[in-house]
Amino acid sequence: MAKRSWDSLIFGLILLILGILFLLSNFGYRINVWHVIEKYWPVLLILLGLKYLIAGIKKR
Amino acid sequence: MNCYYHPEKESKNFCSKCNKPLCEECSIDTNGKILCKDCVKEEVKKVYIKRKSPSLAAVLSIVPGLGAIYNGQILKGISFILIFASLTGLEDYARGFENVIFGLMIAGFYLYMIIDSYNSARAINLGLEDYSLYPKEGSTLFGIVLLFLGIAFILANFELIHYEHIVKLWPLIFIVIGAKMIYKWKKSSQ
Repeated sequence: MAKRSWDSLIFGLILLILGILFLLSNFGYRINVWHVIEKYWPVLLILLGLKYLIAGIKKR
Repeated sequence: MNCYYHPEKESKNFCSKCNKPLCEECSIDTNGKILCKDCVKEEVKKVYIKRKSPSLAAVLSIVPGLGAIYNGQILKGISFILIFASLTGLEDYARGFENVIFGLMIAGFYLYMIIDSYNSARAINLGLEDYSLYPKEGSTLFGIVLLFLGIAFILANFELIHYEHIVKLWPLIFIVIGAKMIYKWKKSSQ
């Protein structure tokens, strides 16, 4: 049960990147974070899909 | 036979749950029932396992994904939110008959999320590892569906394909469910 999971790493990274992007845009860099989210949100679907897929293959 | 935990000692008893051979020292007498230390741990865990209220889980599911998150199935909750958002987003691009299909899919998925969180909460209370309905941890099919949707939306967001093209993929749902049923039938006949 005490297995280290990749979930925390992945979601930690996502939060980190979002935080940095929002900070940069708050301090005058020309990044539209909502635009980035709008374009890249399916990455989350892909990561979740990979997670289920890898767990399923490992179980065989 | 020798003790499971002390290979050098002769066994005196067997665990009444998992049938491990146990020496005098490892036999734990619980009201006349002999258990090994692993089974005692399991029993204790069952008592202390966090109880979830099935009805609360179902009510919370009115907000898509919230019921699953309440049940501690965070990833399932996030995938539910994403799938629900994808379906409702795609409905805008569906015309006529396809709009009806998407309306039905959204309604069906919405009900499914409520039923699933109710059943999952019950399964958790019973101490079952394998939470009730789909999607189980390590469901290959669910993984493929998510991956496929993700790739389709990335392509559409970067204008490589049209959202209308994703809408046109709706017959895949029949193929996926059909393939799943055939796979189950094949498995059960062995």
